[in-house]
Amino acid sequence: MSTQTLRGSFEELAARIGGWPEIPKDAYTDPREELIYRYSVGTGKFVAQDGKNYIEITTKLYKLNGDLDGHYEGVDEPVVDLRELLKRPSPPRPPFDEPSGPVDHVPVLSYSKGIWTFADGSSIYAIGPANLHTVQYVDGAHNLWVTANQLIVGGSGRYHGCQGTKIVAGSSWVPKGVPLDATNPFSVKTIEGFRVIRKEHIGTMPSA
Amino acid sequence: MHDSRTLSEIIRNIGDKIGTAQDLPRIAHSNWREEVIVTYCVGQGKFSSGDQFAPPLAFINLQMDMYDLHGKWLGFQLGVHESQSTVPDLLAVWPPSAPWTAPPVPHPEVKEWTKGIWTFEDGSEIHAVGPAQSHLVPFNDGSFLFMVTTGQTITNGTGRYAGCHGTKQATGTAFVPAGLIQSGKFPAPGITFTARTLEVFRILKKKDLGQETLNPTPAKAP
Repeated sequence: MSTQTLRGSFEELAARIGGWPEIPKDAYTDPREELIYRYSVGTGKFVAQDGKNYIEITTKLYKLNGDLDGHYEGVDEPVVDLRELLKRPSPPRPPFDEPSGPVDHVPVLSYSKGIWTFADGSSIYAIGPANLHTVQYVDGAHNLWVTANQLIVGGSGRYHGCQGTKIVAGSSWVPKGVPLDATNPFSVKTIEGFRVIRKEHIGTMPSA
Repeated sequence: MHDSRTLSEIIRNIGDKIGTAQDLPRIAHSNWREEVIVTYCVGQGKFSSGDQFAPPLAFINLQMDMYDLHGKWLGFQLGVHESQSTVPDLLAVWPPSAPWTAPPVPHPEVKEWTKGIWTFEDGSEIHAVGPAQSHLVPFNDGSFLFMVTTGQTITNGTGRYAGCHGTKQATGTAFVPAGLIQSGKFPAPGITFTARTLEVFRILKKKDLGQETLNPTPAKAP
């Protein structure tokens, strides 16, 4: 029996005693990085400013076991007509098992930024591209997805001076008959994944 | 009496008597039709070589096992990452952009892209592509953490995911020992490393999709 299997069993046992587990240690590359999964529930709304359309997002942030753990506010700027969101990229072409192209240069359909504030008041700021995709349900409703890859550019409290990366998996259900760009608030559900290095672990940049 | 069970099996039996661990709360789904999969992956990355390694152009192949958050094996992924970022690009921290709750929104240049296939235990596949961004963080002992984040769109699938739509995201890291960045030996052609990622899928299956998505009207000729 491998040590990894035994550790996995203990982690599973801990999960059943205490609810949803923290992220398994196998997912960590180094003990100095902090891995966080949260989900959020709230609303978004389209706003127009200076001739551009934006989506402003306001949600509450939860641990995966359902405990409230702060809030998330963000802004998304679509840079294409919303009708374009019904399309999607072409399937990728092989190879997939060797480090070589082709890799299609998928265009960016929107850009995002946000602030994630945790229950103790500490926050993380991040910026990055956020692609969008819309589908129609069989009952005529729509779903709007946001898929964002972001760089952490700072934070406050325990995350002051941190660096890292994060992802956003956003999803909105739009009832049948409601335009995708309606200015009324709409439902927003997100899953947020963070990989964070706190300031105390960060060294100096190498010289040129 | 001899007990042939492994220690791991005994621990799992204790867990079974306590109860089942929680799944992702349903409220985190867009609605009841949406399937959400929250995972982590562990595997190997390999840099390109030969004419596929011409800095800043480089490719990385990822071959990884995929697990749910309880450590249950879900399948595997094969993917390729193309980067045209220089090392200074990777070390840069973009300037903050307050206010965080109102425009404007920065438009960082994209120099990296990804493609991949995620194969689940029953053989069903999800194919996805999307832009990416890498980042190098210096630790205070001279080593580095190589970080990548990608936001992907699902392009197609097979098996139970044939005709599906959705998105997926990943953020992964790899450890870079002290001295490699400083001496120009990372990235380098053909080198391999252990990679670990967090990955999320949001999926709608074909049976739940309407005609506007399944049979989109072709654009009219001008």
